[in-house]
Amino acid sequence: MKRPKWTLAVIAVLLALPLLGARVGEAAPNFAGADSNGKTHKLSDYRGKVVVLEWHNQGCPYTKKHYESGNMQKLQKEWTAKGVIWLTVISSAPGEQGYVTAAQENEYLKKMNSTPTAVLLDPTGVIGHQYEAKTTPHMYVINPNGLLVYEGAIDDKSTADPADIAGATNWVQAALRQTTAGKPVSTQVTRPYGCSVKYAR
Amino acid sequence: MTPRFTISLLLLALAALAGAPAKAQLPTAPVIHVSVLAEPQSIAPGQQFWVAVQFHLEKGWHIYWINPGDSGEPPRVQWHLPAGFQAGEFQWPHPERLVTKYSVDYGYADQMLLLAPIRPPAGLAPGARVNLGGTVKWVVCREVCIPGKTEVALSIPVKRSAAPQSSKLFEDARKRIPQPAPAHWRARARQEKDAFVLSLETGQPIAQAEFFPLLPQQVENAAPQAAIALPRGVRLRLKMSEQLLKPIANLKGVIVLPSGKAYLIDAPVTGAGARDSKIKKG
Repeated sequence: MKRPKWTLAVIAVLLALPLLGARVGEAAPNFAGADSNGKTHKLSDYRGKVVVLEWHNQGCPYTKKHYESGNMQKLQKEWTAKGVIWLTVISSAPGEQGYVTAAQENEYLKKMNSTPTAVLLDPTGVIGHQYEAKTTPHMYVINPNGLLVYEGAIDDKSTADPADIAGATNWVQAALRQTTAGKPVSTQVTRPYGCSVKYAR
Repeated sequence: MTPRFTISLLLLALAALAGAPAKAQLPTAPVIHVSVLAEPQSIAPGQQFWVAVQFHLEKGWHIYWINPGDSGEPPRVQWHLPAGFQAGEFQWPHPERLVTKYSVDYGYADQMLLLAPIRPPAGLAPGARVNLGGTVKWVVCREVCIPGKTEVALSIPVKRSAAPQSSKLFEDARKRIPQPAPAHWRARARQEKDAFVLSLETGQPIAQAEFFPLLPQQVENAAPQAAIALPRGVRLRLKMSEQLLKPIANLKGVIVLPSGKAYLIDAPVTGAGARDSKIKKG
C-alpha cells in the first residue's frame, strides 16, 4: 500500500518541477490533464510520437480565423492521420472568454468538425503556465524524444483576417514536416499572435 | 400570465444572467469610433499638410502599438487618395504598458491619433474640394478582442495658398510622437546572461524611464523594468525575451522619460553572445 503513495508523490514532484517555462531544444515540460471525455493525458504517455499543443479559445477572433476557415481542422486531420498526437488546450478560467464545460467543448468539436486527439481542459491554467502560453492560438511541437522543437505562431500573418491564410507560411506545418522526417526544424521560434490567454485573474 | 409564472420566468432569466460569463460577453454597443481629420481648414497645391486617423475608445478598451507586445496587432490604414496625392509614413505616438496578470501589451486606451503627412500634387486646381479616404482595420481588446474595419473619408477645399496649419488636437498628439534622441545623448546596451542593461546618458540624472522595444522577441514584455538613476542619465534592466535566439547588434526602441517626452533610441549591444543554451539540434 505504500508503493502507490510514494509513486504519486514522485509524480507530483516531477510535475511540479518544470515550472520554468518551455524552451525549444529542451525537454518539453511534462503534464497531466483531463480531456473533455474525462480521460487523463500525460505528455510522457506519448514518448515516441510527435505531439502538437494548440492553445485555444473558441471566442477569440484569431482562433475563429483558423477554425471558421477550416484551416486548423485541416492541419489536425492531416497530421493525426499520420500518427501525430494533437492536444488542444483550453486555459480560460471560469467566467472568462473561451471557458467551456466538457459537454460544451464536445458540442463545439462536433459543430466545427474538429478532430484533435483530445482537448485538455485546463481552467486553473496549470499547463498554460508550465508552457507560458501567451496567446490563442499559441502552438508547440514536441518531437518523439520529448524535446520541444517549435514554439510560437501558427503562421507568419499575424492578423485576425481569414483572407490572410491563403498567402501565409504555416510554421506548424513546416515544423511537423521536418520533425516527422527526422530533420531539424528550420524555424524553431516565432512570435505567437492572438488574444491573450484568459487565465484566472 | 400568472404572477408565479412571471416570477419563475424572472428567476430563470436571472439564473441565465448569473450563469453567463459576464466578463467574457461581447458588448452590443460600439467600443471604438474611428474617423479621419485634416489639420488645416483648406489645402494648397504642392503644400504638405497633416491628417490624422482618430481612434476613440470606450472605457477599458485598447488598441495596439506597432509592436503590440504579448498579444494583439496594430491598426492598419490603406489610403484611397486622388491621383497625384502622396501619403508619408505614419507617426506612431508612444504607447503605454497595458498590464494584465501574465502579460504586457503595448498600446493605447481612451484616444489615439495616428498622424501622417500628405502632399497634394503641384498641379492641383484651386477652387474644388478633394476627398481623402481610407480603409482602417483594427483589433480592439478588453478581456475579449473584436476585430473591426471601416471606411473613413474627409472632404477639404483647395485654395491658392495654404491655410494656417496648427490645431490644438494635432499639437497635443505631436507631443506623444517620439523624437530623435539629441545628438549628445549616448545609449548603450550591455548583454548579460538573461538581460539587456540599457544605459542612457543625457547629462541629467533621470529617476524613472520606460522602454518600448520596436521589435518583438527581444525583450520580455511582461518583466518589470528596473530603473536606476545615474548621475548623468538612467539605467534600465530589461529581461531578455525567451524567444530571442540570435545575438542582436542593436536594441532599438522608444524611451519615455518622467517629463512624458518620448525619444527614439538605438543602442549598440555589447557583451556576451546570444544565450547559447537554448538551441540544441533536435
